[in-house]
Amino acid sequence: MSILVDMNTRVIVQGITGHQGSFHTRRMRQDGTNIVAGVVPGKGGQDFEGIEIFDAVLEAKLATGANASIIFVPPKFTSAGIIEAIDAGVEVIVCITDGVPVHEMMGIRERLTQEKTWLIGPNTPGMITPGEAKLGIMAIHAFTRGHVGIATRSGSLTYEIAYELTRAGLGQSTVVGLGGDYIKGTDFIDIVPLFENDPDTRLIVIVGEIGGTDEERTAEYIREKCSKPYVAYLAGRSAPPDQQMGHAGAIVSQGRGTFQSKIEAFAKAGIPVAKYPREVKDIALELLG
Amino acid sequence: MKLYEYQAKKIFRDNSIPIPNGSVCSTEKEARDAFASVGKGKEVILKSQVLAGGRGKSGGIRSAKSVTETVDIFKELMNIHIKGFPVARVLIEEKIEIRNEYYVSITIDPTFYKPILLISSRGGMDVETIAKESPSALGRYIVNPRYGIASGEILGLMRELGISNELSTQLIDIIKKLYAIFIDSDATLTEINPLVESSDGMFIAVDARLTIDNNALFRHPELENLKKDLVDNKETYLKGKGVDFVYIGGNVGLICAGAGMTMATMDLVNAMGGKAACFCDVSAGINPRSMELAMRTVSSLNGVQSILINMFGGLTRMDEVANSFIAAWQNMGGISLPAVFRLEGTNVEEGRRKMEEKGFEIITNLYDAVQKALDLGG
Repeated sequence: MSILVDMNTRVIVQGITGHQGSFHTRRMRQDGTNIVAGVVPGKGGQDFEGIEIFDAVLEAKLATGANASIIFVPPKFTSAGIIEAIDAGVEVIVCITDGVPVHEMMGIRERLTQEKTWLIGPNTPGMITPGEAKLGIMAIHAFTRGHVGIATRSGSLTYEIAYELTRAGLGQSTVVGLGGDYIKGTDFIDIVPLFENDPDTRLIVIVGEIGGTDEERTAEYIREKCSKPYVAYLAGRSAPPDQQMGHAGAIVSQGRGTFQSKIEAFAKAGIPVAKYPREVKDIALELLG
Repeated sequence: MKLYEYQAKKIFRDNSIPIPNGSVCSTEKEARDAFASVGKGKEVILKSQVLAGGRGKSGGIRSAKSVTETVDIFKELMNIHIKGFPVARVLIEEKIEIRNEYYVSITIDPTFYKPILLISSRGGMDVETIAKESPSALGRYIVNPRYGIASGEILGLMRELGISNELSTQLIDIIKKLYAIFIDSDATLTEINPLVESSDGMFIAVDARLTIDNNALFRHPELENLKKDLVDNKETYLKGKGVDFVYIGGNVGLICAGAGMTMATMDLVNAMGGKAACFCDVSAGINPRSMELAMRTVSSLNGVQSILINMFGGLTRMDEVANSFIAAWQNMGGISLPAVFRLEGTNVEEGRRKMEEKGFEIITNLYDAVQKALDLGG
């Protein structure tokens, strides 16, 4: 078991012929992902290394039985691509593109509340269920099959933390990069219930950062509704206020989204927060006995 | 992209939000003329144009009652830094007689992901302070983006804040215009603080803040043009070259890959007794040029005593990172500061071999690397 993606996931690549799209399509295939179609408007009927290309997501889905999509289209067209995939009823959409306007994401977020679709990202390295499916751009050697679920706002820290866990013998059920944007399709609070209900996940790692209120709301949710062990790491203690730290979402604005408020929320929920990335593994080992 | 006050005010004025009479000055002559034209020869307010809050407390906002005083203060302001930011220009404005100060802002709510309007009758202090000291004086209204600002609902909020019907009518008009600016310019934040009720009962935006979503600039060439007026263009310039940089000011210069990793490294440096000098993320493209640019930028920062380069490779291969470093290093003829390299992840063995061949020591453990950077910095 795992969450959202597994060996039965059949993937459409939106923007399969682009620079990023073609490079990562090859890699995802090498890594065992079942890619069944590509979508590029105007290139329907062509193929990419044996993968059939369609003009539209709906066509691709109907012809191939795809249930997931990964988006590599440029920022100007990304939200249209996301909406097309939602509209076609794709179950899981992973949006890699960095640079989607936040006002467009406000509209998409509202639409998602009325749909069953899961949108992961934008501005994410993607997600992986080790050994089954990778919808993303990460190098797989940091990951191995196991029972730790990871949800994260940072790609680079995911590697560091997953790598340490893997070396300590703690593999992962599913690793989800939620992305670095201010408005994401999926937040920690949305993903935690999936891990909580996944029999294969025994411990959940949350890699958060300053900005927004997701960590606070999630800690409260865990305190009230969850029973599995959780470990958190938070980046950005030393960041100055009102300054964006790389990610569009990593900003303390109007006094909200501070490191302090997140630390306090986790403390209140009894969730240990690692002082530095490597300590995540130490705490996980201890909690799993 | 944050706009200067005078840039935001121009957009406000174009949208019929009242602002004080004023003149943006970058020469003494302009300042002298402004005293006569804007201040009617009586009194003017001089406001430093910097992209930092808390200007008043830092001495960046002054008043002057004569031409000589205006010119002296102008010269003084043009030479100071406020919170590390140089002053671009001085906005010279008429003095507004204040009856009351209000606060109005529109941002995107981090919980509901919709526009949120904040209003207070306690303007003039920052919103964090209002929220802490008099939370009941701060009204919040989540906007349904489909319908925009609904006057009736705002009116209820204003009654709760004790604002009279007559003033509310004027305020709602300004709020609706502000909301139109927020939507039309793809803003992430717009704020008027203080929004002054003048002694003759008119509302005037005495300050103005407007931050535009960088991701939406492609739709706003008119705003993109404002960038050329940025006096300290370092961060924008570097961003264009694939280096995500924020100046902080400390003794350890950082060059890292990935936003989360960069923040985590900053945190670790600070936790271990140093102070990170900057946020510097080169993950957008690691090559000899970006590496050299990052090394030149970081090593030239005031107060930096050592440099820590921290890379963890996923897709990025450490042998390529090593190649880029070595090429950049040789091109620069080395740097005068001690540097510590922490490489880990994909192809690290190959990267280590290449670096060691050139006499660089590679540390794989991040904590040891931070300690070494602190030791070398003295």
